[in-house]
Amino acid sequence: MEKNTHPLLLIVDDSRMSRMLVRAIVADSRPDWRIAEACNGDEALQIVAEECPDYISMDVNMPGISGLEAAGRIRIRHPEARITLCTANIQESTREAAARAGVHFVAKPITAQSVADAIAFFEA
Amino acid sequence: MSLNELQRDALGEIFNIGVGRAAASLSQIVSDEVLLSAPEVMVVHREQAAKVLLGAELNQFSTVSQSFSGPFDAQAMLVFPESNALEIVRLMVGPHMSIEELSEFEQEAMCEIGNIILNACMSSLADIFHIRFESTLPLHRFGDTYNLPILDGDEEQMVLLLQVDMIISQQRIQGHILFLLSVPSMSALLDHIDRYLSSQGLA
Repeated sequence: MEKNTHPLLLIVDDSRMSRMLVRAIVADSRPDWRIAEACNGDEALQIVAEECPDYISMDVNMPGISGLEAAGRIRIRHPEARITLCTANIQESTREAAARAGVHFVAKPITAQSVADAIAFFEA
Repeated sequence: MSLNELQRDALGEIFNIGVGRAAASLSQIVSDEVLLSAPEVMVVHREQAAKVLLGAELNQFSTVSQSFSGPFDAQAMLVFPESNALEIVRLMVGPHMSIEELSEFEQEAMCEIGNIILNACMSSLADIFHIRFESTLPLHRFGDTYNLPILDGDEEQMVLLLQVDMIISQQRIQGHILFLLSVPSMSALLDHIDRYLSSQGLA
């Protein structure tokens, strides 16, 4: 089977509203992207094991493993995946941890602007 | 009056953003990372809120309250077990103060912490809904589950109850944030949530 050429974005967030917001904004500006969702880090790892997404939007504070840990594990196996941490945890320590993990930091709330920032990172 | 799943999720996420901002401010005060999360929002009647607090391990509390008025009114209250409150103050001012000095400073420090956390939550609501609140100065009190202000008054009130988990310098501190709203105010809050969800194409 041929690889699907449409980029796959995985949205990982325990908030359904946040997932819906990111999905709606991305679907509007990048209608050809495929979008998958996970509501925690463990579920994200399962999805990544089946098909590694091109892009991942990852919350930090979720039930189970943290988004930072999930992002770190994904980066080990799939260094090519572009990951943004999309989080309300706006402390300098989180920004530094994101930089150390090689992922892009995007502060919540989710707005057209913050999603555009993430998309710009994905496509850079 | 109850929240549907999406309303509860939206409110939880808005408060999550609020406590995220508060954690950033507190981390600047203590010069250390602060983990602050409000994992779940419950809407309960006033008597039920008291029962939740009664279920807490300790029943001596340190509380900070502030009233907010705007398109809807809320009495906001931060509640920590009293033993935790002194620990928070110690983390804020450093390890060099004696217990007596800490106790002297406690009221002022708790007011500041309450001010930061409660305002961050209400600011988050205000920003998302594009509304504005006026607030009173924070008021610090000690109390137990039998004389907390949430037990006072005849007016039927709903309580938005959030459990708060805070970790500062490896110290785990559990508290609660309560927002007391009259039935009309709760109804106005739900209208704002629905309008917001609708404006985002989510409802």
